[in-house]
Amino acid sequence: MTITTPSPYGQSQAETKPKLSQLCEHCHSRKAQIKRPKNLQKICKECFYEVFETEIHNTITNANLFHPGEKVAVGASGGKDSTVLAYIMKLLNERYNYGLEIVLLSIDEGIIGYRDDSLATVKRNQVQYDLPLEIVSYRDLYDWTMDEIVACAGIRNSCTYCGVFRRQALDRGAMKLGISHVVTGHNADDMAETVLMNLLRGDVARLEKSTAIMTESKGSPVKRSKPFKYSYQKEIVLYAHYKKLDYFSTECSYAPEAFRGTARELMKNLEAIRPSCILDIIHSGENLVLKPKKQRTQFRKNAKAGSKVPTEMEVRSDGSVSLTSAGFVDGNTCEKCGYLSSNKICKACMLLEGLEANRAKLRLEGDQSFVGAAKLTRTLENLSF
Amino acid sequence: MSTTEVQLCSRCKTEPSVTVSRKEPFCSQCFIRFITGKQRKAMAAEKFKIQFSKDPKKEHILFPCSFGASSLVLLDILLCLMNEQNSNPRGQVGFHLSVVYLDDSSFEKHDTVITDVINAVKEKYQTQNLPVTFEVVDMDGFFEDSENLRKISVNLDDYQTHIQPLSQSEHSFALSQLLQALPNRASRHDILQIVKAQLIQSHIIKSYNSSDSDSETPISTVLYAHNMTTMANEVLSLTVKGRGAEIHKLLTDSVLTLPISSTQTAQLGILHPLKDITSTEIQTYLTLLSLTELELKHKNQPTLMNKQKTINEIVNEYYKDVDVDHTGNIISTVVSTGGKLGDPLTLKKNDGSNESSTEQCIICHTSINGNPSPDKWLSAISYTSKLPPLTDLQKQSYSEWVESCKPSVNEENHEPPSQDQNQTQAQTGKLCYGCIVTVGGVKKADQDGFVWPVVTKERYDVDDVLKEFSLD
Repeated sequence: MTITTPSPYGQSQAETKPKLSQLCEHCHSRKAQIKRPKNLQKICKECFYEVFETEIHNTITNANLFHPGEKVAVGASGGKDSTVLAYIMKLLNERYNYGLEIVLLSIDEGIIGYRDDSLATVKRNQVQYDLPLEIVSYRDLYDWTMDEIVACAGIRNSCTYCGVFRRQALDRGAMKLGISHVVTGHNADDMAETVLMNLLRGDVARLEKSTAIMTESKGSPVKRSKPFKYSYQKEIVLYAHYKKLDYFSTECSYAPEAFRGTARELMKNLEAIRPSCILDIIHSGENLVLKPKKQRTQFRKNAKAGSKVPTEMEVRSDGSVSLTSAGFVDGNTCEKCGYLSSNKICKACMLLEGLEANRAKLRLEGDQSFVGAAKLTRTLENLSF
Repeated sequence: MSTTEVQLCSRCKTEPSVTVSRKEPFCSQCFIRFITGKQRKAMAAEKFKIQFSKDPKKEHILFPCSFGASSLVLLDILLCLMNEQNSNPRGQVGFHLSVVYLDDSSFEKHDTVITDVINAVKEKYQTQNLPVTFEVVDMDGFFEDSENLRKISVNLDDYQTHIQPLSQSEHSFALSQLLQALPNRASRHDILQIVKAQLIQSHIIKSYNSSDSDSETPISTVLYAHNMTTMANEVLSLTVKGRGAEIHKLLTDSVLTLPISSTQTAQLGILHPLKDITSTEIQTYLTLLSLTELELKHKNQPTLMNKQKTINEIVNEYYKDVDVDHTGNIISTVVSTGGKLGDPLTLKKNDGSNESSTEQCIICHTSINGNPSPDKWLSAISYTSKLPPLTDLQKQSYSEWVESCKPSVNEENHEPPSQDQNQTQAQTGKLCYGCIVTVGGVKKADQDGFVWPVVTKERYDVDDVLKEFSLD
């Protein structure tokens, strides 16, 4: 675990005249210091900042992501992506007069030894960038913390719970602040990985939408967008490093998603051959279109003539019930909590129900045994011999 | 009772099983029947069956064959079927088979010689009695038509394509020259795939132009020996190459409209009879029938570093790593997902966008998605900084750079601009996204650059006018 602190590297030194071959490929006047991960061009720091920032600005304006006067929440975890996002959003908002009101929105999943540290980073960012911050916790929303969930349901499914709850928590946090637009730090690498994973898992329902820059639904007042859709992760890291941004760089200590890990490894190998492959995958992803489904006519014995009400209802193994045969309906909401759902009851409510059924009836006062792997890692790291 | 009892074949229930496939024990005969059945099912149409009329019009099938594992299995199935048909009392066969091998020996090393392999096949299957032809097409012939050769380059600032005629001294060009200009094995493999596809296409077109009076009908069906593993590999590789829009074309058994000339088109059936068979099953088939000896063997390659591999090779390794339990689940999922995809050009028209494009890529001839077009898409997301020099030292560096460029600028492009530019303007063309990436990777410093036969619309028209109106 490291908390990035300003490093002396990259500070202005006494300028010496670079050789011709060392010049930046863009401005041809400064010494190239960075090999750009996107196209391996050798460029100077100043050109890198200019290119990186302008490309994000172009992405924002081409997709018409914002309108003047809009209140926008930046999903801030304290990690490099969201820290750079908060920094860039503030910078571009001022430089190009977007007229946005920016708020930092953080989710406290309740992972002692991980999230408490990263939230400390977000709090520092709040002061550094002078932006308001709102923290929404799983404890307040669901009466569970991730540490308790892992203690109850095991470490294997931790990402399922955390992912489902975080999506809702971001929306609920935004609604609490009266904000209808959340921007997240998903980058090009994440997006390309998702395209590959949807293909590998055969997730047809998500395949077409996996590269959408903005997602919104009739059922939810909150829309999401990803201004970093075309920004390489490595460039975000470089930007954060050279701009000496204060970010938290530890992966969550609960099991990382194993399958995404394999897709990430594949992308790393492919990127070594063709640096543009991340953009190539996104371009492919934007052009994956499903064939219209063939309508199958069902022949049933003793079908009641003219009856339109289906007599059978599929109950899945996890207890969820499909909606009517019409399939996915945009804007459908959960019967229990009113949140966006493609089923009668949303996934979060289903998971909570399962958790409640297994919650320990009694607990010792001051018991800390549910505090999980993150805390343990922290303790081990602090040991000295 | 001993537990090591030999399991019986689950199909015939009499013979002992020799292999287990898809959790089912098979005896040799039943396994071969099972694999052969895939081809029979794919070619179940009436047109492939024997016609006992007086003047039967035989279906002409083209089979591009690499003499690799999958190709050999399909070739074995087809030749056995033909022999079986031939053994009927009237000795008739339902179709004519053209086996075409694209010869890459000028730049690829093989342990065996292709003519030996073909002769061995002819002998094994007694093809002298069958309507089968074997043809070896030299891949270097792709650059035969030197009149059409053009230098293609992509400006990485605005992603516009520039087409230039070759200089007088460069009028002959070989495929190996083009391959040398490409930056790595991955790009070479991409281009070879396009060259192969186009050679097959021109072979088909030739059959239409030459078989006017012959008893032989022009090619109407093309068989590809892709197995499930190759298909899954292609789905992912095409996605990685930015050619996701072409996936549906590869995986669907469809009828393709092929332009023979500007006025004439041909309907071509595309079939992939082995698309449900995994590469393990292919290997089992080859071993059971001891066909491995016929395989065209590539020279053993030294172990490659990751950077030297092609995209397809990396994807292949990935599938092997992920498929820990050897069930091939992921492979079949990817193939079935790919099979659900459609043509974005026709399907996306319904989403309110009225910009549609009928333009074709001048390299791979696929239709270009015009909404937005690949060059616009790329320019929108990339930006070239134009920060001016600030300090005196920077200004000095900049002026030195400008000075250093001057002679080369004059030599290469700027001195004789008048003629070249006129010709460039006369010939415009667009590239699809995948080809922009491949051509964009060619370094300008290379002498050869990217040379490709560009067929212009005008040329077709002149040919047609002459054909129609000039008297012999």
